[in-house]
Amino acid sequence: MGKKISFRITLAIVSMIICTLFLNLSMLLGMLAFPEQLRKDISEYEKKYEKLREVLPVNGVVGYISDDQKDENAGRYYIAQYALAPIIVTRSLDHKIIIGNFRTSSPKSEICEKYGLVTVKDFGNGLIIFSRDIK
Amino acid sequence: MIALLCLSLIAPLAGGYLLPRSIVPTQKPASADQLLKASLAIGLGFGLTSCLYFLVLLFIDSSKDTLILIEAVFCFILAFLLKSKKTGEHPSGAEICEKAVVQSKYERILSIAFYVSLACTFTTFVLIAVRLPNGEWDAWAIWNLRARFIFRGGEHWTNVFSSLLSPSTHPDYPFLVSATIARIWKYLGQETQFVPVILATLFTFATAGIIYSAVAIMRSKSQGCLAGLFLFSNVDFIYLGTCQYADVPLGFFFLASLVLVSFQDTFSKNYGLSFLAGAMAGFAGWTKNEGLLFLGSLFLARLLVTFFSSDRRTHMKQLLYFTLGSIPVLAIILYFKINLAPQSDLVQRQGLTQAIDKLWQLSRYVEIIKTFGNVTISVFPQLILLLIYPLFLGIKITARDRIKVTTLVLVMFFMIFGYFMVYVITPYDVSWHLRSSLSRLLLQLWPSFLFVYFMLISTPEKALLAGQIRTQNAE
Repeated sequence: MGKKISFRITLAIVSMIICTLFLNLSMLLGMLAFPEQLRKDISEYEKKYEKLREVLPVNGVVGYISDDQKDENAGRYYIAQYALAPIIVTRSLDHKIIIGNFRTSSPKSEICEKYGLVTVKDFGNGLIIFSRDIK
Repeated sequence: MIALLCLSLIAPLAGGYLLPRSIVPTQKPASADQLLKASLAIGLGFGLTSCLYFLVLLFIDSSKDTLILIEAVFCFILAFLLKSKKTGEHPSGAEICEKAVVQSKYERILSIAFYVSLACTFTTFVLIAVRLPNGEWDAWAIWNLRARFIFRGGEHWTNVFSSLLSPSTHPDYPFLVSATIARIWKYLGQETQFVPVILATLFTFATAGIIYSAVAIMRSKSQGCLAGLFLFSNVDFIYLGTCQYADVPLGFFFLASLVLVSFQDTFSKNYGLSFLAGAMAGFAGWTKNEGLLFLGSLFLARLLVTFFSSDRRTHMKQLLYFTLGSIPVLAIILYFKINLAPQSDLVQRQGLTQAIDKLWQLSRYVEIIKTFGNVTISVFPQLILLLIYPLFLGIKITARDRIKVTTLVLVMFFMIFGYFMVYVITPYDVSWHLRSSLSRLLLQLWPSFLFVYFMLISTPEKALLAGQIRTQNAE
């Protein structure tokens, strides 16, 4: 009977070890075999804003406009905010400086006309600094 | 840069180590005792220095020299105050909680498995961290973003609370993680993604350090290894840690508080343990809003235990020390919430009447219960094993452990209930809210759950001994 109990406990413990190690190893092997399963790090997207930071004021608030539909691909906006901090990037046009973040390198001119935006500097890659007259 | 990094870690780690070294009694096994104190030091240290940095930013200035000077003074004061303090009790074997009574044949194999698991987890951690140095969404969109506001903003660091910032950046969230990152950047004089990665590594592996050592001390080494193995076996928990989510530091503080409260029930007159538990619970509130729910849950659990206790006087005193430990951090959180942080989005988006109306919508309860079930099964496949395991080893709660276990179970219950009720009254679409956050909330409780579980389950050594005794009696 004593041996039976010892066997039962050993079985339980060995099962626990095998299962936990299996989960652990599958995570490691998954990472080694398919590293592309992870998303791209945002540092790649962030680089786009480096030159922009050099010309913007150190602090303050700037507006933001893009050709994304509302709430679609909000990540682009949040990356811009992350890259440009401590400048506050707000999705509004009530500011003198407005950052344009477009998918195409030449934004539709209607957008500029519609909102009265004047291009200050075009950084290429769809990134533009606009100015706007606020009354 | 490495020298500056070491300098930035000296104050939190040395200061953090002094407290548990002076308060937590020395216990056996010695290696587990040292590991426990070192792991506790990480949370205590970063908690203390983040509070200190926040106060320096608020009331003095944001210069590096001021920060270093104040931290040095703080460390010296702490060292002076704790110098005369006895370095803890050295209880005899009988006084320590349940100990292994038979030499475990399982200890060796479980130790090997634990170290293999540790190596695998660490390698996975490094591989993910190399690919995602900025972490996942919450890390860069909330915690590291705020650290940038503090570090880059200089005197204008309070812009981080501006109402112009998107509510999705959660400017109302507390400050421990962001302030700690910004503080180390301040020491280094530059911003590097290496710092949030180090912080995430320290908190993830310190959580493992606490769960292994606390269970090893209170139960047995083999039981501690099992707890560690289960912690590492959860892919999502490790991933959250690597991706620099604050849910892992929060889970660390939950676990640390519960461990200290459990030690308090063993060394009932060592009130410093309750003081430290209170501070840890306070730091949980300083990490994320859910930490405030935890602080309230732990306080309520201890209050109930006190109420039904036969030694009410001692428990009352423990509760008093717990409150004293949490008050300084709570005061900082209150100042932060009242004077700086905007209202939480959960409060901002609806009135009290709307929230109360939702309490009567049965469909919400049904959906939440269903999702709780589904998420639990998908995020914690290990639960099946944990359900079967007691059938082989049994559950063991001694009379001495009853208060300890009651507190732990009550806290877990209050936390789950609290999370459940937040979903019931959420102003967001409940399906979306559950989908986007429930798994993380449950993962915050994963280390604490494992601690409670392995405190309840009989150790392999005990089960073996009980079996042998039964066999002898039968013969």
